[in-house]
Amino acid sequence: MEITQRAVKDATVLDVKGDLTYSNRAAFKTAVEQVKNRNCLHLIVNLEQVRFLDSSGLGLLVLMSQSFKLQNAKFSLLKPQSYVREIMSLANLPKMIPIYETEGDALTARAA
Amino acid sequence: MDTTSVCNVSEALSQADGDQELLLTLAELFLQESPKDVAAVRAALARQDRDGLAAAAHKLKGSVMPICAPRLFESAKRLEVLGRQGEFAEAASVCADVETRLAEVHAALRDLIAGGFPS
Amino acid sequence: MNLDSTQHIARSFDSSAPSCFMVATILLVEDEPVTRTSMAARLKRLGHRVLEAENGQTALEVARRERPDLIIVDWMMPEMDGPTFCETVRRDPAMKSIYILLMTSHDQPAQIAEGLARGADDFLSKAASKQEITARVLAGLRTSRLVRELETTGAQLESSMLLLQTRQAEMEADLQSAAAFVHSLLPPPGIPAPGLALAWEYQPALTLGGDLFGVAPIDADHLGLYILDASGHGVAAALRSASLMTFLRVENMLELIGSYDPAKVLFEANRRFPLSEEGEYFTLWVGQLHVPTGSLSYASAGHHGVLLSPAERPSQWLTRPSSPLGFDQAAVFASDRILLQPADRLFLLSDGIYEASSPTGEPWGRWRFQQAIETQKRSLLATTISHCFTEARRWQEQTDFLDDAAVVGLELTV
Repeated sequence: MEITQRAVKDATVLDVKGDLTYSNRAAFKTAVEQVKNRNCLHLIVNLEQVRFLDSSGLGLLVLMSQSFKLQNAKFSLLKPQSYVREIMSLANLPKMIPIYETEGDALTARAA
Repeated sequence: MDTTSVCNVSEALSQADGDQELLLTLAELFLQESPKDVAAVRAALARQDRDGLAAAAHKLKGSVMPICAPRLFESAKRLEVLGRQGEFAEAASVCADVETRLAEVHAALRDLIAGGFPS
Repeated sequence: MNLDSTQHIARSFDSSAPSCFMVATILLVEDEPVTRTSMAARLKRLGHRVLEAENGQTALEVARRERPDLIIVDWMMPEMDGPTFCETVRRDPAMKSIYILLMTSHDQPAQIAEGLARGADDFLSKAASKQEITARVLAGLRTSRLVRELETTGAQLESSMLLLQTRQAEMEADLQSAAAFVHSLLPPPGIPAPGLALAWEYQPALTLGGDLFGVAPIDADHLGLYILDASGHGVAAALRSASLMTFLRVENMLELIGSYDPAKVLFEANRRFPLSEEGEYFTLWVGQLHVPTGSLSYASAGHHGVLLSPAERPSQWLTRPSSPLGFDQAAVFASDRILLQPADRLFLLSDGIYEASSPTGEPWGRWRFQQAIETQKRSLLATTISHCFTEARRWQEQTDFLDDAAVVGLELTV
């Protein structure tokens, strides 16, 4: 799994490529925490290249989103693939974490 | 005869790391033990015991080393070889040599004990 | 294991340490008195403690008693010669690694080869100079010290290993105990209430399973049911599951909220079981069955493993999107209700059974599970469940499941 970071207007984007699973959890958590510790106001996790998500990955996404909320920062997800989208949907994730189809949408959305 | 070929005192002293008292102790020990060793050689020869002769000659040869008595050493060495080979006839004559040379060494050692070391 | 002592040993061995400060105990074995006296004196002059023996037998006794650092033994001796002495020493576990110098008056390669083969470590000429004796003795003492330290480390490693193995066995025994306890809390199969049959099969992936379930009477007419699935792995997850299981006990819930209303149970559980530090969570399904009428109310927190198999209709999954426990503190859980008819079956399952993967990586899947249930509709409940496990095992081509596999079946008997 590869994670690359890039800065966009008013936000940081983490592009994740590969699987978000139990074995990769440490790497993902570290990457997100690095961004959080820089007091980033809005983190967008780009899931376009994530093929597979297991319970560990799902739990981490929620955990990270909760910790951003505690910091009054935004945490959004971008372009999940259909399999990943279904998993998240069954867990009612869209109710807790905003999911967008384009970066533009993520950036212009009003705070929840 | 060159006395050093009978008993090379300075060489023996060097081997004893310069310790004169040690050399005198060794000399006395040799005077005490060597007759027994020769008796053992004689006995083995009489029995025509190859292993016994070789062992006895070897022991004698060994005891000679700290004393540095080259001629006696050579005879004892020869006797050991002959013993291993079972050459009793020749061994008998070498044995006589050994006894002669041993007597010479005894004399030299007694002189040393009595007279001390050459300065 | 005392790590400190291991590190200390690593530090204290230093092969470059000045060896001239080593005072050793040397055993000198020589039958000839003049040579022996001479050699003993020379060794003492080097500063060592010298023990003397006239023959091999005496030397062995002295060696066992005194454990010298080094032995110098003459080759030719009556009764027991040098090489034989070496062999005897090497056969003795207490002495076998003592450094042995074999004294010779010869230098023949064949003799040297024989000496080494029979146990000598090195050779010393009887006519050796002081320097040569010093060199060989010091080399021997250095090696001897190294060997001794290696032996000590080796012995320590061995005892640490034994300790670890013992501890591991103890831990495994503890886990077995814990597993036995937790599993004793699972509902006994049979007849939990008149008109109802219960059967289940459970195979945890490890000794202690993280997926648990319960079936217990709430009152004379009502039965409480639940199945929970822990997302983490290992003992920690299993412990958290046991904690949730305790929370879900009927007595506890009656005391807390006065009922076993599924939506309310989930609400309470959701408040008390947040995500762990690693983002681990539970999915939970809770049901309440009114046995006389077959009315089942239920609610789910992210658990999608409940299958209704009616007697005369195809099976259907009782599922709707819902957030697992701990995802959303403000979550409100919806309650659903269905009516079970006689001969209808309800299955609660953990995902280990339908996620069982074939060697090519394809999961057995929910659909194949449904088929297995359907084809065995007329069999006994226990047989049906057993059949599912057999099929899943056949699919994955092995007996053990990677994730906890549980199937609980309830049947409204006619």
